[in-house]
Amino acid sequence: MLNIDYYAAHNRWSHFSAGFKVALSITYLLLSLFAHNFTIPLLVLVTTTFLLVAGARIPWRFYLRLLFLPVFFLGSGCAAVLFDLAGNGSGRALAQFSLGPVTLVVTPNGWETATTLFFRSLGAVASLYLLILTTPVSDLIALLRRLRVPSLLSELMVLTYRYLFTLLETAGQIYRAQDARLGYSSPQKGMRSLSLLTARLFVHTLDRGNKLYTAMEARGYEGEIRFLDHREERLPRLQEAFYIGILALLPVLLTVGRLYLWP
Amino acid sequence: MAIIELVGVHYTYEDGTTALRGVDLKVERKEKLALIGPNGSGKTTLLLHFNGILKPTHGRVLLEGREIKYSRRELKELRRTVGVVFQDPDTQLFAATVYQDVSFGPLNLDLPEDEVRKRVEEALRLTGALPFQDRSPQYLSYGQKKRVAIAGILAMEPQVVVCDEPTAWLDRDGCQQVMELLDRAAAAGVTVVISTHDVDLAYAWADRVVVMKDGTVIAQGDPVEIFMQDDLLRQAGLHRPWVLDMWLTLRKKGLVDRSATVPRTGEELKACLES
Repeated sequence: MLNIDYYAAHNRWSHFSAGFKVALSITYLLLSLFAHNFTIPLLVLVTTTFLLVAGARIPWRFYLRLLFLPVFFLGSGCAAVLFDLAGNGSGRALAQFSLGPVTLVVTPNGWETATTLFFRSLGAVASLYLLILTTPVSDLIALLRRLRVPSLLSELMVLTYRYLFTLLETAGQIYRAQDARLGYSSPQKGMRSLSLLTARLFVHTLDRGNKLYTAMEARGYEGEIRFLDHREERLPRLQEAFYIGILALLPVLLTVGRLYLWP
Repeated sequence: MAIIELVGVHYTYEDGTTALRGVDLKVERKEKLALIGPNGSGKTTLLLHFNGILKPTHGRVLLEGREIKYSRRELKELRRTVGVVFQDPDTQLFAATVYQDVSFGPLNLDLPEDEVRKRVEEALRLTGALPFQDRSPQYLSYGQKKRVAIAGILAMEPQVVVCDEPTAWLDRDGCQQVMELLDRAAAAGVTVVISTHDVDLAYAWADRVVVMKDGTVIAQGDPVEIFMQDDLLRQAGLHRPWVLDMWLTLRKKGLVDRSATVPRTGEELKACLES
């Protein structure tokens, strides 16, 4: 999770307009979700991967690891769709396996449904990775604020985002300090140390909250958290035109493709 | 007239710890004041009285001669006049980006947006934080966070900046950058108050030092006069700044001019020896 945040803030696309990236990601997402076979989701997967690895320069190993996270769930889910019990349906079988008294078959229908499901989901996941791996959380929050999301929500997001990191850092520090004094040298000691860590973290959180409140009061806080976002710098015209071009052309190309090339 | 004056301030925390036992202190306009004393002597508690975060259990706080009654309006006025930079910048920085965080204070002063942006950019420039204005605090070094915390206060353009242990946990360059920053603010006419247990820093930097011990002020005055007094230093648990110590030793041996002004920094001491 922290790696995602790091790359989101440190890649070649970080400073691009968040609105553009959201639009791009949603376009790909919809293309994937409404596809009837696996060609378009596969294209989406290839395109997003290309944009992330070659465009935004996200390390490909890291990206592949992320992509494999859902593959496990997807695989097991699709397997259930792929196989059918012999004699259950009609038509020929592409393959069949015997498991004792049960015979599992793969029908053309099952094959198509399973592959479509698999690539559709993976394409959708990749579309969202395109957004979350390239867009700093602060930019997303700023975008939500421009879209007039209630300030209570954006304030909460800002505070949660900031304090997630300090909380994790503190937990890490306490853990290392305990570990250095052999706090995790046996399962029993580990349990004890972990409970102490949790209790300490709770106290620490309250303390942090109080200190934050004091510090905010010192800067004139009166019940409403207000802040300004740095104005977005515009991209060079040519680059902007290029990316908007990709965005606009893609659905057109795919629709043409669907109509004429892979009907 | 003193910009801030504390008269007989006592403060007891909710858990019964008495941190201040009758502090009388004046902060003069445009001075560079250092509060020194060992850990637990009440420096931080005292600083928190300067902009009304803590309210004295007994005693009075005066802003430009008027006693603070702690009404909402008065507190706002006090916080507009006096800015406090906390020791740990992580307690102060809460926003998702540096720019947002620095804009928080000036927006609370109900300034128009253009003015806020002008001040934010000026504060970021002054503290050298412009190159990382869009970054999130978790990706900053400790020294950078410290400078952003100071920018957040400078953007409010207070008349008094109060800095609790400005050099704590900073490396040498970090310390120097922060102190230069405070000096620049002082040169622009801001009153700067710091708390520190670093006697060398207080001696080199301050116009006036206030020595605290066990919740009271035991001495205040010119740094040279204060740090000359052996008894006082022993009583406060402080040692003599090395520059002064060395100079006194050299003077005893007749190696430096007796009538010359007392050096405050290593450079000045070297100059004494070379002349």
